[in-house]
Amino acid sequence: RRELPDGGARPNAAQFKQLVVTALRELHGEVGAALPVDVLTYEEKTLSAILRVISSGLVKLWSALTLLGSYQNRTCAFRVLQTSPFLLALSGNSRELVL
Amino acid sequence: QNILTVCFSVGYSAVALNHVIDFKEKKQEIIKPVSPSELFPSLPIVQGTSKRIKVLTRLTLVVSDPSHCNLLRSTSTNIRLYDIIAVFPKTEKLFHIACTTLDVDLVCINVTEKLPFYFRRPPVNMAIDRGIYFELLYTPAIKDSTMRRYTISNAISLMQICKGKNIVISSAAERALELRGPYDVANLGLLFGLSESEAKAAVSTNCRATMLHGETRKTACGVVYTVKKPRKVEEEETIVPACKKAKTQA
Repeated sequence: RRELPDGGARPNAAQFKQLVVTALRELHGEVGAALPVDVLTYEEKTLSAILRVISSGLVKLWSALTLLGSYQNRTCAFRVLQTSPFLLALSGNSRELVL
Repeated sequence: QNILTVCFSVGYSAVALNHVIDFKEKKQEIIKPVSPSELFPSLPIVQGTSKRIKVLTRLTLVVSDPSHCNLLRSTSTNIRLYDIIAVFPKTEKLFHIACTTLDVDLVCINVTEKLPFYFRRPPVNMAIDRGIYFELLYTPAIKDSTMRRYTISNAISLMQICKGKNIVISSAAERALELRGPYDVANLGLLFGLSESEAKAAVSTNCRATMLHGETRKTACGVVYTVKKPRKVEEEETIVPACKKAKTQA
């Protein structure tokens, strides 16, 4: 799950996907931009989304998102909240688990 | 810079992770050591693990001249007040001096332009033996694509020489939005050529070791940790005398 704290712009779902692909292209070139990434959900209110990618492409995607600096001439930052191979695990925080 | 502190704490408490318990503030002075007067009335904020964020002060010396190093040897009280001292050498000679004889905790590796010198193995190995860490910054990589290339190329050349040991990755962020979470930074370490465990260590354990090195340097002796022993050991000790008694009686 990723969260985008922004300066003021609010991208919609398609623009968000475009942003992700641009980040990949900037860091890893055409090969990176061709990495199949799916946006599973996207909330415009909180600017957070759940992305899906093949496991071998996780490092590329994550590093590309981390190093993205600007969106429409405005500084922005991606904040990766959770990564997991299972969708169910994204709903809870395993550090605060009370047994 | 007060705003910075607030931004930083907001950022990291949002991430709420264990290993990044403390962060460093960087003050750059080229010739005059400046006393860190008030420590930015920093309100330690309770994090997700009920531990407070520590605020350390750190001094970075940009040295382009061997005479600048004399500052470190001078017993000015200002230098003592900093927790961590880092040096940023600009020539090969200074790099050699910094790794071998200077009393610093971190050696900054320039990432914003092509290094004018190549790393050589002897001074790097000596630095590793002395417990000095090499520092890489990742914020320029966010700002500019040219600097990104230099960052990655310098980082990779450093990795080839030091084999991934003693690396600390940190951010020289000047704004809140240039900060990235600890796991993201560890992922960047993978890009630089570190292995996964080394990358994570570069963000957590190596930073902590740097802090301890700084404390050691301040107090001029070792750092001793006392750990509470579990009660089991005491019980075993009481059992042993009883057996001995039985033997003597029998």
